[in-house]
Amino acid sequence: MAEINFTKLLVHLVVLVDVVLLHVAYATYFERKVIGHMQMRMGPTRVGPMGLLQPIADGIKLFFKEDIIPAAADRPLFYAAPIICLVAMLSCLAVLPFDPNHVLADLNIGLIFIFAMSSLASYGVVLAGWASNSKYSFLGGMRSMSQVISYEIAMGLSLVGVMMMTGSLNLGQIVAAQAASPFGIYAIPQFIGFFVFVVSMLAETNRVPFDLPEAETELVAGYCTEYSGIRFSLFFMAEYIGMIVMASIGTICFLGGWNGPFTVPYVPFFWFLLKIYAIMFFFFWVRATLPRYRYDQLMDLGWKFLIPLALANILLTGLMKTVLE
Amino acid sequence: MNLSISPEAVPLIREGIFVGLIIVTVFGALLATLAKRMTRAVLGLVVCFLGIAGIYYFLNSPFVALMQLLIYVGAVAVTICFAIMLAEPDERKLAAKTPGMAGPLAVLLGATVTWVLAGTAIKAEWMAPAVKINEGSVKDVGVSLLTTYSMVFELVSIVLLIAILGSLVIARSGRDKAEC
Amino acid sequence: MPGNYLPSEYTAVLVMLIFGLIFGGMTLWIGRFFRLRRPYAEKLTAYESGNPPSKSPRFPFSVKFYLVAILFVVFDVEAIFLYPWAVVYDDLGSFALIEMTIFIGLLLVGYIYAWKKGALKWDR
Repeated sequence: MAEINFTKLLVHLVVLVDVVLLHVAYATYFERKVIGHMQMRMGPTRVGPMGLLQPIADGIKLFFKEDIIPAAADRPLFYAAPIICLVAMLSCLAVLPFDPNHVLADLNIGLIFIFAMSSLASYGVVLAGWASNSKYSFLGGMRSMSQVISYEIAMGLSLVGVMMMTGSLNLGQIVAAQAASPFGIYAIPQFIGFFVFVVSMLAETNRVPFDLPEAETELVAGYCTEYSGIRFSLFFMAEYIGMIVMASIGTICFLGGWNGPFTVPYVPFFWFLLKIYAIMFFFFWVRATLPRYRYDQLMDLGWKFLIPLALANILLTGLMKTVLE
Repeated sequence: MNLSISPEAVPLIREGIFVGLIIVTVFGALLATLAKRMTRAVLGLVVCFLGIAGIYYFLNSPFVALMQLLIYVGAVAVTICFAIMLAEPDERKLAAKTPGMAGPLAVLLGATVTWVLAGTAIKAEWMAPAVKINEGSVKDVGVSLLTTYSMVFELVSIVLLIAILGSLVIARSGRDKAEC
Repeated sequence: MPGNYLPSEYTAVLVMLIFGLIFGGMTLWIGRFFRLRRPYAEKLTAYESGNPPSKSPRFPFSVKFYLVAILFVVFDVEAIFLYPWAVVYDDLGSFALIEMTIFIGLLLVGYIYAWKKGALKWDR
């Protein structure tokens, strides 16, 4: 046990972070293209062939932008907030199994670790709102916090069904147990759980139709109103890494993880990536389709619909398991 | 270049991590008590909780460590955060209200608690930390929770029920006053 | 001394945390040398649609947010008790189900009470 190959670990980690950041960059391109075409527009076309270099240009632009810190801001907290978000989201990546052999930290309680880290990220948001000393930021931070904590319960409860079917909190074991189950994926027997998960996934990541914390038509940019340049892009990265993490959790817990109907040679992680891209596409599709929820509707949906539904799903799963045995 | 750790270095690294965790905890605690602004104090509290979670982990209880994170960092500190912002978001008014006796009293109380805790800690016979790590931890907790400690388990739900009722009562009286 | 080893699973998490801190910090720090910085008073005021900010931006908000936080604590704790229960459900079977039904049932009483008292009403 004592032998930890740090070189290997660091290389693995840096490659993972780089790949994920590349995905973050191209997720923005993917998003703009998908929404563009859904709205009969072209999306980015100017920078590079088919606009493929657009995310790079955006990154460079954000890096060189002036870093404006409002005079009234609470500086230490203002500095800390984006880093808290980013660190919390990055550390989620460490426990995701992309393949039986490619997981940085094979935790036995990986699922709980992800919950813990995503609750930590909500601090970054609320601190950003507070530290900016701006009305829009403050409101955005508060909204985000109460929304995230409300839907965190629904999300946690929606995954209890999966835990019951697997008897484990290890993400790798969840995938393995899933492959051995009659349907191959848990999205079919756990369809209620999957539905609750998908809705709370959208809310947890502050995506449309639950993007009230950043609602640009009413709160400018919500909690990151006062953030500019590279600081803003740290929040942005954290948000998109969060989306990727949620998509991965959905893939692992409900869609069978790295397993597919057949093995694809020479393309590593083919099924895992395909499923993640499908869920990401779903994120963007929803954004192009649905209007935003009103705040009371959002809270009602979370507290009066999703949580009872998730509890009912747990009870149903328990009964089904007892009856079937 | 291979940075593999030799077995001899392991105790040293463990000690290093342990000391690091203690530093994080104490730093968080100091930040929580000394910070002038309440929000910063909450951040200090969170840092302190993180350090404590690390120590739990260090004692080979990863499940308890994550419980600490989820409940204290994820839930309790969030509530405190909300409570601060709800009660008096403008801390300039708050600073003026602190009575003069608060400082000495706090020192006295803190000293008493430290004295009692230190006394207990020196006298107590410490159990060795659990040897098992990363295997069956959650299962063991689950089994003993539902069999040996099932009564406690049900009592927890009553405590939580009372918490809901209490918060409703408090919130209602708050609403009557603030009218918002 | 028990457990005189480095658990490799969590080391990766620790390294990831440190890496994230360094990555975030370095991105900000390196950027300092490249970006321009021309602050003036108007630029540094909080954004309020072009108007000078009026009053304090931090204002007491509705007590409902606090109620949500309390309910969140309660249900979070409940969910945390559900995880080990779910993991051992196969081993303990219907006995565990009955226990959990009592547990959730008691909390549901509180939940319904909160609902009836209007704690979950946001349009008022």
